[in-house]
Amino acid sequence: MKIPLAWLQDWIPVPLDAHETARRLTLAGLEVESIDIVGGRFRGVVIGRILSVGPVPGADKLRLCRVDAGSGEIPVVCGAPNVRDGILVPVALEGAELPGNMKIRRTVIRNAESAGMICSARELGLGDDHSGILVLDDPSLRPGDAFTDREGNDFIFDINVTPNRPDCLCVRGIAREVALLHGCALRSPETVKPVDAAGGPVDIRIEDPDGCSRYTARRLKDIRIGPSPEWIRKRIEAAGMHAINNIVDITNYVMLETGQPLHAFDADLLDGGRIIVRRAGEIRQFTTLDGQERRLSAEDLLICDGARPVALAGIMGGRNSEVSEGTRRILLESAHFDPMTIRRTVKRIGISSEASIRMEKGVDPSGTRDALERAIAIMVELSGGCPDSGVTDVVARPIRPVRISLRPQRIRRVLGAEIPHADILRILSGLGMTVEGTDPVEVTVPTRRPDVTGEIDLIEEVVRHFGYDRIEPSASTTGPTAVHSNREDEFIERLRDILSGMGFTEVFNNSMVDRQSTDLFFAPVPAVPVRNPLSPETAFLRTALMPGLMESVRWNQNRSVFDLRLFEIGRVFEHRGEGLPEERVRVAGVISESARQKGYWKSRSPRPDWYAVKGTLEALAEALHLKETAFRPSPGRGWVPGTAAVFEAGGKRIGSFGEADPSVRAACDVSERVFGFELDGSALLECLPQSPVVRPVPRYPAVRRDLALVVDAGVPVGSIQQTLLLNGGGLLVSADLFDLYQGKQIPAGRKSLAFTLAFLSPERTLTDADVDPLMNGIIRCLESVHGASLRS
Amino acid sequence: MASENLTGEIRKIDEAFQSRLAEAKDAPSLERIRTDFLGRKGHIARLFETLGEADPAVRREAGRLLNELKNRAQSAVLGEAARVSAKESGEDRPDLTLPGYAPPVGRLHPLTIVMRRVKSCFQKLGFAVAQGPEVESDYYNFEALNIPPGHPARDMQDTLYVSDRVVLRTHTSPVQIRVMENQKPPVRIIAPGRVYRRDTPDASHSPVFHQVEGLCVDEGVSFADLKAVILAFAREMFGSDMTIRFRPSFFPFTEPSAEYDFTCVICRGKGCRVCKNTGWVEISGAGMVNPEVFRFAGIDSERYTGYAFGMGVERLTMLLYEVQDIRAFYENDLRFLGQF
Repeated sequence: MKIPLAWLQDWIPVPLDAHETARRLTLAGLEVESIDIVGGRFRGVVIGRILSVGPVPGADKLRLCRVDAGSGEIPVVCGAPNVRDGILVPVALEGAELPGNMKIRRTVIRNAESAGMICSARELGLGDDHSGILVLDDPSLRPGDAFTDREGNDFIFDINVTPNRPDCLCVRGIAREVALLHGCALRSPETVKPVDAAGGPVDIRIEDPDGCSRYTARRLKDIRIGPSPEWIRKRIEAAGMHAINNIVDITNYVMLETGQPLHAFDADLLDGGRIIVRRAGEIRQFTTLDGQERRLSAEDLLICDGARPVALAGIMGGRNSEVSEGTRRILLESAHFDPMTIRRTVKRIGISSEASIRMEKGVDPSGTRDALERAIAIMVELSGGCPDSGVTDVVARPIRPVRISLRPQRIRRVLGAEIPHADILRILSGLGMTVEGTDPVEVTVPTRRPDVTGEIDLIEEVVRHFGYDRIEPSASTTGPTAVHSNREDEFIERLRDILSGMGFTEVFNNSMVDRQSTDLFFAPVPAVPVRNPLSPETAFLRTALMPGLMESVRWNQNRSVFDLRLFEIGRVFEHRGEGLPEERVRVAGVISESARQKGYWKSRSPRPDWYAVKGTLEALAEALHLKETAFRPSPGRGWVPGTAAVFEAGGKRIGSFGEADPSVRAACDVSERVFGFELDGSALLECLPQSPVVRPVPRYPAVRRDLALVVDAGVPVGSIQQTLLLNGGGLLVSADLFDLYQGKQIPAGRKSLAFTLAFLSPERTLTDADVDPLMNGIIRCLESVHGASLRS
Repeated sequence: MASENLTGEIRKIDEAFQSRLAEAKDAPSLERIRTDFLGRKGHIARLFETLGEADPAVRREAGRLLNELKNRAQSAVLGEAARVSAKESGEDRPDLTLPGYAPPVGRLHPLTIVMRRVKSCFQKLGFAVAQGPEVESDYYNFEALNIPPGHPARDMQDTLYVSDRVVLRTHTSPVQIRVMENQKPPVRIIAPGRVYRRDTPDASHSPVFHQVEGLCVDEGVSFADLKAVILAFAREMFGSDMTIRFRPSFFPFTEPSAEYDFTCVICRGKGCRVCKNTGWVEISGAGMVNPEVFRFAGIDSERYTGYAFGMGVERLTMLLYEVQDIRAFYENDLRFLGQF
């Protein structure tokens, strides 16, 4: 809400300082988001302190000053005889506007740069003195503060009014807060002159008391439509509204002042001069005064005359009864409508007005008459009109003030601080509440405060004006809670440490994705649609992390950042009909091959490949002490056929890995080869052993033997390893492959494998006599089972 | 052989070994020394043979000396061999400017780093970590937090909907309700997590971001406790010179409600561009749990009071590291991520 300070000042008997008033309002919950300085004879002038005065070469009368203008030190060339260091002066900064259409620019004078102008009184239009610059005596002025022309300037406050405070969507409401914050009484700017009744009442019928609790109206005749005086136009424009004509401007002026929306109908255009408040029912359409044809629903609340709708209640009048230049007689409406009814229509039609903004949050049901009379008084004065009816005030559903008991000890309990009783009474009565008794305090809340419905609301009002800063922080004296560690959260943090320790960098991708990326990888699952997405690119929730990682690869690759090892831990979603979707935590990673292989000077590092992903999973399994891990081929969407595999632990499927298929890479615009994995977080957590049970370290040394053999190229290494371990007589503890070779010296279709075997006994040191027979048995078995031949 | 002779012989062999070793320059000469002294028929082995013939009275002492000589000679030959081979291969003096062979360095996302710091801070203060779904029912995201359908407060956040009754949670506050439904007071939890708003991305808005919600419910919990816990957090996170400021505000689920500010972490309160010369930076909202919320959660608001607070992880991270654009967190440019 925008409010000129001068308008607020009308209501406050003590002079208001703009910045101090803004500070107090902000600390009372009415945040002043900005202060604009408007009007006056100049703008862009600030207080500056001259820090030093030096010569300008080649110019006797000019001086080069260094000026602290608040935002920094600037050079200003000045020719005034009275310039000296230390003084406070008005400085017109670059872009400032001075009387006579003078605009200040950054210039160079005699090779000296000048970023502004130090002003004389005449240059600012403040007087005739041009003998020297204006020297400011007030020591409280600070460099950088706006230098204002107290005569013509005004300050426009932009106040962020929270949705619970419709009473503060007007000058009077804000003024009430300002008065309390300054410890003074609210002053009514002008007494409402009672205008004598003439003619009969207005014919008003409220058919829907739920939608309209009260309707107050009066007719005026002999109106002359014309522009409103400047003081009205200036104020409503400062508040962000357009001036239209005297009648409309006055309704807006009074609305801005009192918060009560008013509407003026051309009374001669109302059929039968009647007002009927009803739901739209079978009426399907209506043209509002902005010329838009509105489709109605049965629930919309309408103001009708004897024949047809003439206004969307509380939102906007109709074109058919609009006040125009020829209007001579008006009917002025001041009504209270049900906020929720207005709100639903606003939402549904997508229409909003200054009136509806107030109506949908709740205006004061007791304020319709005062606002109407205030507007009538101004209209009679400014438009020459005179009453054509009495004030007709129809109350269909009385809304009464709420009474609340406030227990002082409850204030103490909630705040953890003592607030003096006198302050409680001062604050509540300052807000217009009636206060009786002491414990409990019986409080009657004015109807303009629909937000105050319970004791806690009163406590908030008290502390809001007492000052949040006066409540001292005090450490809690409450006892321990059942703090339990969060196993899943801790596990995820551990995974992050393991993966980053393995050289993977963590990424965070958007969980909202486009349709295509929900079926790039893995078995398709129904994706959760977002009903009102910002764009089709974010219309679904992700079903996997791999597509996001592909996007991260694309982003970096397009910026020539290669050799990526990335991981992400986050949730994926599966649609489950009406209820909440299933959410699962996934852990995924990618290794992407660089187009330009980065080498080490000493030896080339291996190009990342499928085995790099498998190795990552093996290392992860080892770091987590996973048992019964296995890798099995398993075709999976998104992976190059033949590279797709699943990773199992504890006999359960944990996730899958492989090389991203070229078609997926093309869809994701990734040119490099990408190897990736994606695991299910909870599956991983489930197969996590509680804590490892430690076995004693072997006491005797192992006997190591190397074994080189040649087998058919198609024989899996794992099957040979299995044969080795099964035939080790219980003493063979490991058989590690250290070389694999195909090529020269090896027959085509065969490969050479070399293993290191380690034999170990927990009971004694093994000798050749123990190991030799085992080796012979192993070799025989390899020959017969795998067709292996020993390589010498 | 007399005992003096044997010990004297050992000393002579030792001296001969030392002088030969000092002259050795290359691997072959070292190998010759090894054979001569430590070989199967070398000087030391020969002395061991004579040991058996020695007077039992001196055998023990001579044996000890001989063993000691053998061990010392072995390690001396090995050590010298390593030096010689390093010299021959040019590795005796590495080029300090050549890059080493380093394992790849992985980094945690800045939001993870900051979220961990926030968690650790509150865990020290006795808060447990709680979690809830990112896709929430309207009931938990709004209604149970005292935001009924049609409430103006629904306009405070632009919501992304899955259906009429299901939303992408707009804040982590629904976790408050889920926890209170399952745990009797005392309750002290924080709920970190991802939230969603229908905001067009720009330098300070992202449709996806992260919050940490805090909740403390017990007998005798007051606004003064809330201020104390926020002050402790400010100091733990940004330094012991931090001060805090509470301003009244409005949230349907707390009353009294506040926005809380910290001393500007960039200029430490002197006034700068980040704090728009106010000396304060806005952090987030907090307040006392509204009795209406307790009613929804089935907690007796006469007996128990509580406070709740929130904070934006992106906001804290941007302040901590002077990140200018929130979108950087989701672009995953390694030139950005590599700086944390």
